Amino acid sequence: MNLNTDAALALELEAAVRTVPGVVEVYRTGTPVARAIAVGGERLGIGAAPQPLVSIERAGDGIQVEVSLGVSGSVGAGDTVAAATVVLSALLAERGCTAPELRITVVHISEVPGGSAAA
Amino acid sequence: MTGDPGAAALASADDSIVAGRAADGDTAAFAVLVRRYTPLMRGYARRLLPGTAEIDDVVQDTFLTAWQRLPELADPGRVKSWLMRITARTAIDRIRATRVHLDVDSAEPAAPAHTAPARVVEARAGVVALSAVLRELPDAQRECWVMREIGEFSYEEIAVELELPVSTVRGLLARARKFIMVRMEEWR
Amino acid sequence: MTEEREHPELPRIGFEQDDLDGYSLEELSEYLDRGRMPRDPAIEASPGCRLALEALERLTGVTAELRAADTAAEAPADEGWVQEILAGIALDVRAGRRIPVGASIPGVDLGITEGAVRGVIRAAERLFPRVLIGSCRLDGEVTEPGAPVRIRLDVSVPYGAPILDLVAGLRAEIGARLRAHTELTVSGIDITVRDITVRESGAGESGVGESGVSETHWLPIGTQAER
Repeated sequence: MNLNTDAALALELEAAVRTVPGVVEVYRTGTPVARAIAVGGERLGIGAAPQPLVSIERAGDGIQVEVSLGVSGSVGAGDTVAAATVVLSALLAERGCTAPELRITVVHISEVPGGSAAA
Repeated sequence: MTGDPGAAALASADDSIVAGRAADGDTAAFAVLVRRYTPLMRGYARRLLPGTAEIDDVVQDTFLTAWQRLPELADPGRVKSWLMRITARTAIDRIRATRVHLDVDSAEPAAPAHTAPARVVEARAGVVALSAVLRELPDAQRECWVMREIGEFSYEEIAVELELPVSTVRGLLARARKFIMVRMEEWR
Repeated sequence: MTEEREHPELPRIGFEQDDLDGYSLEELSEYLDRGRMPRDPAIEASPGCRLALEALERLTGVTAELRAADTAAEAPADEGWVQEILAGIALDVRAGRRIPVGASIPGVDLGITEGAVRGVIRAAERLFPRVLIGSCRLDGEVTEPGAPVRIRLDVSVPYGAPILDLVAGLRAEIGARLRAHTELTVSGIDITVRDITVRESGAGESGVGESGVSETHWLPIGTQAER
């Protein structure tokens, strides 16, 4: 509800998910058009500071968090998102968010030279 | 992504492979398509557009559209004719934007081409003759003929593009063909 | 055009309906488009029609030459041109459908995009020098856990390579990657060899694309693709 706290929360969530082993990158969530517009806006200097990469939406008392991740090929994607879930859920609980809805999507798997989870 | 041997392999790979990769977001593969088909598309656009239009803008727009829509192409092997279709659509849309009204009954030849191709190519006399005859055609007839004979559009597709009834398209094509045939035979 | 005729001794061909025994040039044109099938005896018996058909065929030949000449007259795409176009492309990652991952827990929705899966499949080609993966499709209800999914790939292979070994190796590698990163029920991995690349630039012999039933397709080599 308070956009500034949500923005700060989004940045915290992003920082937290980046600590998860296997997470290589955090991508902007949203439709390609939305992403293009956001990026275009940044380039043109229109709009405020860049939107956080983690998306937070409020509906009533609830909070919906969406994250798009790039993960390493040397760890199974399933394991990486499971670990990310634990970290993000813990952080949201700490911040007093009740019944959060968490949506995590892997959008890219990096090729790791010489290493692969497909052993 | 890939080193030199990979790039060379990609550059000589079949359309279906290259377009398949580009459809998935491979920009190196898309660049191969750009290099491979730019001259064909420029030549085609030049035949369709009246002299004052910008060929390069049309071809660039075409490639942007192609990038968005490549995932919709069911058979990546058909990317060449698919690119030609988009070229025609893009060219005609551009003409329509600046043209108030397509005069289907006009017998006036199109304005002379202000934009010439990059090179002079030795061509057989028949090609030179046909090229000259095409420039004598009025816009509506020329556009129909070029879309049909070079772009291989169906009558219905031309009708949709030019926003004309199919019967009018048939008539325009018939007149264009007769004019061309008579001139080509006169020359022969 | 006021040039002298090249062959003044040949009869002038007329294209009015009188010259064509009542047929219009358009009808003859469409007859030719149909490959002169089914054969129309009345048209074939008319000298005027036959002359016109020959003229139409000459024009078809010249038109094809015109198209080639138009293409040859245009400058090839230079790197500046290519970069301009690439700069205009919105680099969305072709996400495709969202494939669920992990057990369903209330409040938690985990997934991986088709785009990410195709990417990790594609990356397998690095283990097989000069093999290129073309189109890569996941056929089936990928959004439904447990639904069978068939992976279909087009590949190009280097001339002279042991194709069956390559394909088997690629299939094994892709299977392993899918198991490592997804919970998809993979019912099969169909690999179609669509192209064979020769080391020298330009000469690629293309196969004719066909979808079939067997897992690995060896395609008949068709005519050289027009570049």
